[in-house]
Amino acid sequence: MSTADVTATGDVLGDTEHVEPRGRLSRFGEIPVHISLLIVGLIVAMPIIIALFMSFTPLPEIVGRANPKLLPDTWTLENYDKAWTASPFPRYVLNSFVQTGFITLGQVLFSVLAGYAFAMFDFRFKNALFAMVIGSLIIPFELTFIPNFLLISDLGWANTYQGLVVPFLASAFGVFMLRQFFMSIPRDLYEAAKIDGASDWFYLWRVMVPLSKGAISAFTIFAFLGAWNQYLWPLVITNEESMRTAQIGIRFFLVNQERATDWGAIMAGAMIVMIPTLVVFIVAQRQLVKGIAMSGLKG
Amino acid sequence: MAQTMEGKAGATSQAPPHRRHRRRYNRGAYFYLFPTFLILAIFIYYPIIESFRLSLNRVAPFGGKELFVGFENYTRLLQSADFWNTVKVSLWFMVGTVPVGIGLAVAIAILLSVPLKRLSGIYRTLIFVPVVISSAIAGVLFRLLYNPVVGFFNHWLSLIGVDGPNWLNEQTWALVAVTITVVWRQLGFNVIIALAGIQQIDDNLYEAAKVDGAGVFKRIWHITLPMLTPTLFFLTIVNVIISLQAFGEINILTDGGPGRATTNLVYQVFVDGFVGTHFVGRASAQAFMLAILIIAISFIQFRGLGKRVHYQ
Amino acid sequence: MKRFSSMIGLLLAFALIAAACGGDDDETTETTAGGDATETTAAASGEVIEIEFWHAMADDLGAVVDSLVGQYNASQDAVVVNATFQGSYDDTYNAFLAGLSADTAPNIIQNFDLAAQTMFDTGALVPAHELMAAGEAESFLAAPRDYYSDETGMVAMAFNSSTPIVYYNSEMFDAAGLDAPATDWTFSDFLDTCDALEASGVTNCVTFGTVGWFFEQILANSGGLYFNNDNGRTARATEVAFNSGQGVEVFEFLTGLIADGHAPSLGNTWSDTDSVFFAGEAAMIFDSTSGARGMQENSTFDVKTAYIPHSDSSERNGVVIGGAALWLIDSDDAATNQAAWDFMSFMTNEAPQIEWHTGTGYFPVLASLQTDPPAELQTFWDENPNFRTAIDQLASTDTLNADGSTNYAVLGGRAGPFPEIRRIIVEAYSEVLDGGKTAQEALDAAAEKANQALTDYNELVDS
Repeated sequence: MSTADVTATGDVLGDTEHVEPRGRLSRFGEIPVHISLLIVGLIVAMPIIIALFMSFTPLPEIVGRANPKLLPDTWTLENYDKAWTASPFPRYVLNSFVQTGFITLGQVLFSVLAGYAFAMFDFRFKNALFAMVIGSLIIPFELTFIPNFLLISDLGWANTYQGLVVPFLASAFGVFMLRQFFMSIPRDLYEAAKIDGASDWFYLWRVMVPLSKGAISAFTIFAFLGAWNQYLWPLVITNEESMRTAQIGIRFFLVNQERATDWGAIMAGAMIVMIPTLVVFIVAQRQLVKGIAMSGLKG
Repeated sequence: MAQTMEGKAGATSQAPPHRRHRRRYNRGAYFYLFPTFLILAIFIYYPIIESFRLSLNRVAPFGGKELFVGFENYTRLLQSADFWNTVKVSLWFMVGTVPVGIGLAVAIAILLSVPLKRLSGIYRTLIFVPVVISSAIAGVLFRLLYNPVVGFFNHWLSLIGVDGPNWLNEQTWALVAVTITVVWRQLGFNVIIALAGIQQIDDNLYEAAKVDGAGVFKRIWHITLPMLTPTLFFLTIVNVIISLQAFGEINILTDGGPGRATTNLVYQVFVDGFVGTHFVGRASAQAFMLAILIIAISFIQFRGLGKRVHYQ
Repeated sequence: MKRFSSMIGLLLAFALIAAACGGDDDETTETTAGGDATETTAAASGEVIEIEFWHAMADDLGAVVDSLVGQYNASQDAVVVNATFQGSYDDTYNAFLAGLSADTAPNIIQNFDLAAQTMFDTGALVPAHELMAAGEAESFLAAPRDYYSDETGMVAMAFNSSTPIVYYNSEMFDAAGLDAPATDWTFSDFLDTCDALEASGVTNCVTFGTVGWFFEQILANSGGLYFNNDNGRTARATEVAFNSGQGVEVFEFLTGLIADGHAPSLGNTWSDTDSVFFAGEAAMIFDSTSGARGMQENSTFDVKTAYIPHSDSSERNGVVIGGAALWLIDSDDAATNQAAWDFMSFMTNEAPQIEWHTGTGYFPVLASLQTDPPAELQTFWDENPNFRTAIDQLASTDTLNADGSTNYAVLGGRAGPFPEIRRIIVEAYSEVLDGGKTAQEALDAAAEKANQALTDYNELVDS
């Protein structure tokens, strides 16, 4: 732990001008890193790659082969056609965007606020309140599902965007995650800012948030994914076609209980609903990379 | 909106900025907490109370009809071999997923944090992409891969002369198969968090260590890992919870089987509450048992690991 | 519901904040647009009665449902039926149960066979016999009619009825020098067939999922009861009856097929078995009649069909209908109930029944279609003999015993916690295949759990 101790008291605010920030492992050269990452990446992505090719394979070819093959013999777009037309998919995707957009916005905003309070302030009942946040993290959804359904129905919010969004506007996970990251920003910085007369509010948005861009982007991805991949709640809270979400469209293909599974269409649907999440991911990933440049308190 | 909020927050910070007694309670904190707690109160805390009431009843599937049975649901569970089996499966599942999942994630995150001139975007995307699919789709996909007769895994294994197991239909292998799937789908999530944690480490520390002549592995061991402890702590807590609540993959891959080999506590709650006959009272009681289990484990973690976490 | 009202205030306060926060956001506009769109479609002209119909028929089955609903809506001006797909049977059931508690249940719901007793117990139904014309019940086939009847008469209307059949790869049968299986074949006949197939080089004789349904059906075919009290038909079932007599023999046969290597161990699945069959890794597959079209379209070989077997110690009895039925939920408004019923009766007219049958493989429930099929249906059957097998198998089912009493075995079991008990049977498979128990031991253990579930359920409902 001696290094860590040095770290804690170390020259965190020192001159960083001549540091090449990206030279951490450079002694090894890039080649071994490339090779390891390529191997790991291919292994991890293989199931998705299989799914991608399967989405272009006609069903009889998928199910009729004793020895599975990666590439289709004949390429087809039929599966995409099936997945897209089996339900009012464009409408579902739009609903998913609205639902996911609001949930993500709410969760990120509220988690930043609450995470900041838990990380930086002393206040009465702090530990008890934090325990309550963690407590809500461990509650299985089954426990809250039915009472929430009744509540939303009582409010007349079934088949509305409010019904899809409001119960999920806060995220205990987000509060916990951002608190952890905010706590890893040196407190000296906060004290220094206070000395300079900055308000808590100003410090949060002008210092804390920019410094934590990586963590906030990461949480944005999770909040988006969590909302995007919801299934059971949207299914039960909406019973009109016009309010359904994209995951429900996908499950159209999974619930054929007494019939052959239409693998190709499932995979095509999976690919379609993956695209928005991939886009969000790629955009947010840039932020993750920027996060690197911003870290180390060079600003 | 932003302006009014700023105004409010500004008011709270009108207090003299550098009084030594900053330790005093900051009332403004509640303003920051309000939205989160409002939502949690309505959609988590209140339903918990309602569910506790249900757990003291036998509840007809069609609602309305309830028979108060006191703690019968709980005492029956405690006496039931099936219940203890679900606890055992939950714990095995946790032991199987958490250390492996976090270990892999940290190793990959360290690799990804190496600045590369090109291709790093591609590697990141390859590794993160499983995160974006839903657990149901992951389940369906792996179900096909695991198929003992026409699946990819055993086909590949046979190419290297290994006779693969019947992944999903032997009791021991089924748990392994579900574990692999969950670790796989969770991997990108863990890598992202680990990577974000690594990126918050001050570069100067590495430079200082380099000047002191520390090699790569020494730097990882003495700087990256200690400085990553808040992240690791967070990952452990969250992964334990995720592993104890894993159900989407189980639902599609094994439906809790074969036998009860992959029926963990949360899956039993799901089955009792949402499948077939609907035993809502029993499901609620089990969900509370699950909550108690997670609380106990989280408590141990906060006590045991929390102290070893290093905050800058 | 008063307890919620205090929260509404809080929520409204929050909604205002949320609205203010989201004021500049693009998505708010989308919300409004979406809301308007919904209202426009919903705002039909004044006098029309709207009927909500929830179903569990996915993709191409759902398309047939939509087509029939469209025809009904076009056929008259008084009623508009909104058919909505609600996911799997469990999803639909969940949505329905939640809807009952919240007073948002639909007018008609499609619900699966095993939920019948619970549906009766909800007290939320309008039984079909109250709205039927006298004698109308006679126009249905006995099996689907009686399955969903109580002592007074027909309660729900069998909608998608299916039975299990054996599909086989006729090329493999030819190669093994085998003829088509007899309509009446025992476990021994089945195993002889397996030996011949395997001798000719077939990897697996048969493939099937360890789902509860095949056990129920082959038990019925062997004349065994699942529950006491005449399968729960003359009084509430209080105990299961499957752990003695025929039940053990049937379970030994099914688990034996897997244990002895005649069938691959694929677990509780409907889809993995298909893959094995299509890949030519098994010569036969137990599956539902509703898969007939998919079997034909997705296989590269000639698929034929046969009846399910029965135990050596029994005569062939026949099959129980499976699938799901349409249930009319009481809306407290006679005109609405009548309108809902009007749609349900439409669905049992000849033309919709033919479209439904030929489009899906579920069989027609109208007796006249079998005694006196129209030419188009006859042609269809001639071209698609596989669709005919299930119908014949059901038609030749012995609904009466030799002495004229009701054959409760083929009427099928009825009990509140039946879905739960089916899960217990699935677990019992694994207890035999992987847990070292005998069929008898596994069924005894299953019976103990099942009986507890029955007791709990009955106590609650009778309380």
